[in-house]
Amino acid sequence: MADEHTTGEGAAGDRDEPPAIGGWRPPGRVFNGSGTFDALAALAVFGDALLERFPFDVYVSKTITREPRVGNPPPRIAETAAGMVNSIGLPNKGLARFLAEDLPRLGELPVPVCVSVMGHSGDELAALVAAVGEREEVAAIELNVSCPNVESGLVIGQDPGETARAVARARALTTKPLVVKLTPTASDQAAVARAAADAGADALSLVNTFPGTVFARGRPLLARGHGGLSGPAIKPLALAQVRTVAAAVRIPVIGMGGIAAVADAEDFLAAGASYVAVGTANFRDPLAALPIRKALRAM
Amino acid sequence: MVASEAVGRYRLLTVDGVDQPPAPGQFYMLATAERWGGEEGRPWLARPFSHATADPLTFLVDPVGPGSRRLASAAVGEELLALGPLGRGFALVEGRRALLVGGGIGVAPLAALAEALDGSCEALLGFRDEPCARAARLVTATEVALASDDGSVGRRGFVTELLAERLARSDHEDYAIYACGPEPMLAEVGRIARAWGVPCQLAYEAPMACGYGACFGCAVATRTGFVRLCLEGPVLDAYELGDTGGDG
Repeated sequence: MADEHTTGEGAAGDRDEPPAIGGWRPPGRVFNGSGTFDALAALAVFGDALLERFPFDVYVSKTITREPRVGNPPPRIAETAAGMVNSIGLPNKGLARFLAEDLPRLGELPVPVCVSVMGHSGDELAALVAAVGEREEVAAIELNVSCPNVESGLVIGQDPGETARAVARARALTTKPLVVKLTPTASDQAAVARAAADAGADALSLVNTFPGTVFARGRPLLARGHGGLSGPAIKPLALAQVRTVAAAVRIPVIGMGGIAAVADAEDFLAAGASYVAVGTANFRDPLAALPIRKALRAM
Repeated sequence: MVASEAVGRYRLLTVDGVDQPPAPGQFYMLATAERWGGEEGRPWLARPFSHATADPLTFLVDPVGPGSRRLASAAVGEELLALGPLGRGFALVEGRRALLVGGGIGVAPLAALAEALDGSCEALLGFRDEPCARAARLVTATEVALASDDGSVGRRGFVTELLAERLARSDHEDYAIYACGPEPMLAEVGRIARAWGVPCQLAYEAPMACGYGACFGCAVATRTGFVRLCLEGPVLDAYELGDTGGDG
């Protein structure tokens, strides 16, 4: 198992069959970006019709934290040119209720489930990874490292050392495939990517949202002042980061950032990603990923 | 889209090809199939609209931003994308006469409610001025009283003043209030209703990216914490609203 973490199986960007993530072979190339599709809410709204045309090959949960969070005050979102900014604040019911209430239902989805977790300290992260890693409904764990470590004050994903420590600690606690969701604000993205891979990550996913804000009448429109920019507006930025990271590591890369159509997904694969994720486009159309899933399956 | 007509300052779009009948107060995410995303890259997200009538399906659009302007300029025959019906509409209170309170473009879901009640309701409607107030004709209530900011139609002043007077003079225990309009108006309607102990449902608006619970952008504070307006609303009980400042 240990060897697979660092060597991977296929070169990134392999167009024939995507490389395994750790020992796991996802059934297709299309994920959703964490926090861009609430499968349980969507099921409540659209019913079984959604299960019959589920738009992703792998379902990635919204990020779970150890304690419940209510999220940020509104306004939380604003449209921008070809995208939007959000400062949602990771509202979630916390680890215990997620495991008890949501995960059993997510396990009934027609596709494997990857659970996204975020910890603000080593202990918090460890508690999340250990508990989520025990569950049979979970195909993989994604570490969201876009948060400050309360002990060091550093944003984990901006610092190779912090990233390595977080990934190594998670790695020791689970045999599940570990995906590390990189932060687009690292000054040396390749160094962080290598640190994550060397510490045992099985795959890297990028990009998360870029810091951004919208002003109206001389003031920030979002209650928290600024948020994260997503949508087609960030695609060129995302593509460049995916290209850099894919060249720096041998583990698979899940590329995302403004993918709204098949041609966008193909660009990310050409830039070195083995998998893609559809994010903000889901907001415009809950089935936005479906044609991409079909096209990449036929590829 | 099969028709587009001016209603004063607004446009009323008539849409066909939507199968599932909506309930008053529910909404759709609307966009045009083509040229959604203009020269400046906006609009990009679909826009939430409550329907103004269910049969035929119509939407009232106030062309104030990139999305509403694009929809208002859509040509007859042009394809629209409509996701819905979404959310929870008005839940009628048994045994009480419906008193509809609307402000501006917020008359749309009240028109749908009056339609569903076959006009058996009363309406208090407030508008900025006479061109806006022409939308009052959509609300087919047996009794309609108007207010306008500039006094050009009905009473000069706020529709909430009409509401306060109506509850003070009539037997308020006979009524249930259903309201839609700008947020300050809804807050005042809720305050007046609670003061009289009258059941009251408020159809809210919030910035909304998806309409089906994915984006968590449309959070509204209730007594039990934030809820997603697209799932728990857009109609909320005036007695369930609350205040939460979010995570520290």
